[in-house]
This record gives sequence, C-alpha cells and structure tokens, in this order.
Amino acid sequence: MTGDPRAAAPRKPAPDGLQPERTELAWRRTALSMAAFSLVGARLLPALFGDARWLLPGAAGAVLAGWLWLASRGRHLRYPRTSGPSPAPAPPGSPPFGPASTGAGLLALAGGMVVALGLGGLAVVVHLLR
Amino acid sequence: MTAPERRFPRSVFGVGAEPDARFTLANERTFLAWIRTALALVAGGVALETLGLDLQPGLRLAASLVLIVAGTVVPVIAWSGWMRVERALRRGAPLPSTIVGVCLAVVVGVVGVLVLLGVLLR
Repeated sequence: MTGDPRAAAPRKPAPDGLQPERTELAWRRTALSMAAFSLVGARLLPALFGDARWLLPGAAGAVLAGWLWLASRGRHLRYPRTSGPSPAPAPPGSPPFGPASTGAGLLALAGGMVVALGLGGLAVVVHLLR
Repeated sequence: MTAPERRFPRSVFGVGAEPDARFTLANERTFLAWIRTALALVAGGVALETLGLDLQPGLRLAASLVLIVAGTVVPVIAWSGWMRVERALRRGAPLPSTIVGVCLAVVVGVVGVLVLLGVLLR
C-alpha cells in the first residue's frame, strides 16, 4: 500500500497544457536571435572601429541572451506539471504559479536589449557615413 | 492576508486579480514575437548598409534608417502593449486595440518602395 512515496505524492493537473512550454520555446527563439545578432556585432564592430575592445558589446549581448534563456527556462521548470521531472515545492505563502507571478522584469530586459541593439546599429550606420 | 504586491511593474500587478495563466502566457508570447520582429528590423537595417549593396546610396541609407528606427521603437510599443493587455486581463476588461500592426505595415511598405527605387535608380 505505502510503497513508492512518489506514487502517493499528489500530482496537480496542469490545466495550462503545453502553454508554459510554448512560452519557453518562444523565449528560446528570442534568445537565440539575440545571441546570433550579438555575435554578428562581435564580429563586425572590432573590424569597423579598429579596436579589439569593441568585442565587448557583442560578447555581453551573447552572454545576456544566454542568461535570458536560462532564466525563462527556470521559470518554466517551476511550473506545475503532470509528467516529467517534478517541480521544486513552492515555499508556503509564495505567490501563485505562473510566469506573470514572477514579474515582468525579464520582458523589460529583453525589450531593453533590443532597443540597445537598435541604437548600436544606428551608431554603426552613422559611422559608416563618415 | 495577501502579501504586499512586489512584482514588477506594480502599475500592472497592483490592479485586478490573478488572470488565467494561459492568457497571460499568450500575452507574454505576443510580446516576444514583437521583440523578434524588432530584432529582424534592426538586423535588416544594419545589413542593408554594411553589406554595401549596389543600390542608390541615398535611398539605401534612408531605407536602412527607417528599418533601424522602427526596430528601436517597436520594443517600446510592445512593452506598453503588454502592460495594457495584462491590466485588461487582470481586470476582466475588454482587450485594448493597437495600431502597431498598421504602423509596421506602413514601415515595411515604405522600405520596400525605397529599396525598389534604389534598385531602379542606381
């Protein structure tokens, strides 16, 4: 009767189906695009400005993109699920599950990164004019 | 009973009740789709100038600048759209309308015309 304790553990059904996974995949696509764009920047900027220090913005962008993906993945893995690895138990009194419950800082960061990339691109084009 | 609202941004999470997670996740994916669109706009604009394509230089520069500026503005509009939709979801209110799609269509159309003229007038 009381065999495997894991079998007895209550499994919360996930009414959200594959939505968390879809969202994590959307984050993955976005982070991948940002990393690719950043690496192109790392390749382009030092040659353009003739200074190895211009490697830094592209490298920083790639690292940030990787971090964005890991952070969104962590959020996804904390979601209740019916199969696969069990999520870490939430501490009592914690806010309800759901990406929105962790706040939208990641979204703001992603938006800010693209604005920064756009301004960087503008700087490159203006530099080419001279 | 409830903990003070600490989630960012408080102007969103301070109103209404917790929405259906599916809808808030869909809102998040819509924001991410706009982010990728913006990234593509910036990439296209930068590529247009740095690849040194054989187009009329003035028109090529104009197209490039339109693309990059649009790509820089879209994330800002997308963020404001995410906040408005999330607030509406939390309040159970009708979803707000947005004109960003029309604006983007105009931008892409303008860039297409500029590139076409750039090819014809080179």
